[in-house]
Amino acid sequence: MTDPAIARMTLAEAAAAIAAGELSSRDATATCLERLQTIGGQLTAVAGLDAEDAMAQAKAADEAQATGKPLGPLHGVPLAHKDMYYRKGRVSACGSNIRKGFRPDHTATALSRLDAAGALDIARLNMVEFALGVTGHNDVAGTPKNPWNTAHMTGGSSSGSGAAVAARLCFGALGSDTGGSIRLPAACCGLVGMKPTYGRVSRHGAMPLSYSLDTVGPLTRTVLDNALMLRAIAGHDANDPVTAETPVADYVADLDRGAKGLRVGVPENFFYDPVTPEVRTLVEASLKAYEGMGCEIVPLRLPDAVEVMNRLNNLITATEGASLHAPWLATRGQEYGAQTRARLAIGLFTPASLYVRVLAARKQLVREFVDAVFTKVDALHTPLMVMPVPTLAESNMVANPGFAGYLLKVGHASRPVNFLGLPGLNVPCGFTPDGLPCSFQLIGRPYDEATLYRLGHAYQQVTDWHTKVPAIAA
Amino acid sequence: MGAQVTPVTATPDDDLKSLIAWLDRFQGFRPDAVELADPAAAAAGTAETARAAAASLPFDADPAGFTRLLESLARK
Repeated sequence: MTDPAIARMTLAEAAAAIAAGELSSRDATATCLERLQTIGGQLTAVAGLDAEDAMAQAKAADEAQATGKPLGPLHGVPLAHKDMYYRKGRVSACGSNIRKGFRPDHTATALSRLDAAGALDIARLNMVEFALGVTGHNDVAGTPKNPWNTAHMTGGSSSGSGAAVAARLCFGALGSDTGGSIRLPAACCGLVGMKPTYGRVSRHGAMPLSYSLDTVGPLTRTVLDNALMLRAIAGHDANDPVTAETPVADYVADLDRGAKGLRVGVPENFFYDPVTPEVRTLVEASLKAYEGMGCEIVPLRLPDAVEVMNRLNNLITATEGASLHAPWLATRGQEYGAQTRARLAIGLFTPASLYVRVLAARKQLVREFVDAVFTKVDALHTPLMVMPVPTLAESNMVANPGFAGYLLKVGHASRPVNFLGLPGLNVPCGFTPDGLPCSFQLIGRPYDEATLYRLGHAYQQVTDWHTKVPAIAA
Repeated sequence: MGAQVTPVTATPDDDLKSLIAWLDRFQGFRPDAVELADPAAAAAGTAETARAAAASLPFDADPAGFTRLLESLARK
């Protein structure tokens, strides 16, 4: 098998080929390493890799396959992850200068579970400094470029994960999502991105930003690939006390049930407010596809409180982030990028009493939202990026006047989902006239990722957006 | 006691000076005023929004146990 043919395989195809002995993990890994080093360099997507260690993992996977013993569902498949997932003894710089040489003494639960499923971990992917940013810019570790057009932003904060998976440098990647950091890079780079329900995946060993909002999830090319990765990492973990006891569904088993009969809600307020005409056209076309699949399309008026959730999510992120970073801000403030420093500093001013009341209000607002929406529909269908993917220059706000408002706009459709703690799935639905990807978002009831995957997979069975390859990756 | 904290006054510029003085005094951190101006203005609006969102909460509203709440709202 030739290298380009391997790179074009989906994660599911690569896993099946390796299990069947039709593809060696060594060939798959060598292909990814070569691409990470060449294309990954052009895209500033890679934070670090150890080729010798990666090939040793692949050799061990091939030897295990040859024994004929049962294999994990991701056996031998090379993955790479956002540079904030700790692996004992390996550097995890978190996109920063401050943690440039940090070597953790434990391994993230999400990585341990992917290891147990047989996946290889072959590189660390670049990210926004301390995961605090939605455009992908990073003044200290370098800014990844969008594989569809390197003049454009990748979205953030899982910027390297978005660039690497879209450019076929690896078969899937973990990101993290506090305000849109999985879904926005997925949207900008033409990928499937799942922000799971709060508490669905352990954050143990993942760099924290906001205890109340952080979630861990995968970026992949297809919904099936995404379901495979989430199935491997989801579930209760005693090391992360907020993980849920609710059983994990078999996300893959349900995929082929189709979308017929499912009720898809369309918001009449809020989500479409700042959406540009070219994005609206593509998102509405995806809704037509669901109508054609036999879904019931249900227009819905959302509770008015949805209007303030973007800002409340920012308040929680800034406050909790500031509490984590306060010691470094005091002693190493100049080592942060200007935007990161300004956004963290502002969180130091939140009155403690107000912060606690916002957390209490959040519970009330979630109850109201779930009652208003999920008694009527199985999933809510919304835009995700409200505008065509901006260029790096257009979105390079640093800490200039207007940047706070700009960041609010980019996260308009993503942050309310973090505030509510609900699962949100980004699914690509075409390209705007400038050739950059466009997506829609599916939002579900708590712990109902399975329905979102079912809807997303059904859409990918009747469309081919997910098969398009950026020229840089061909 | 240490340095005096500049009192908050009516103009935005003076407010910003007060914020920076407060940070310096209580957090040992002196940020660049230009960097801080835009997020400070945005945060002022956010605090108002937050107060309004919490205004109707009952006295005994509990901020803890968010995961348990989500589990109670999951499909049965």
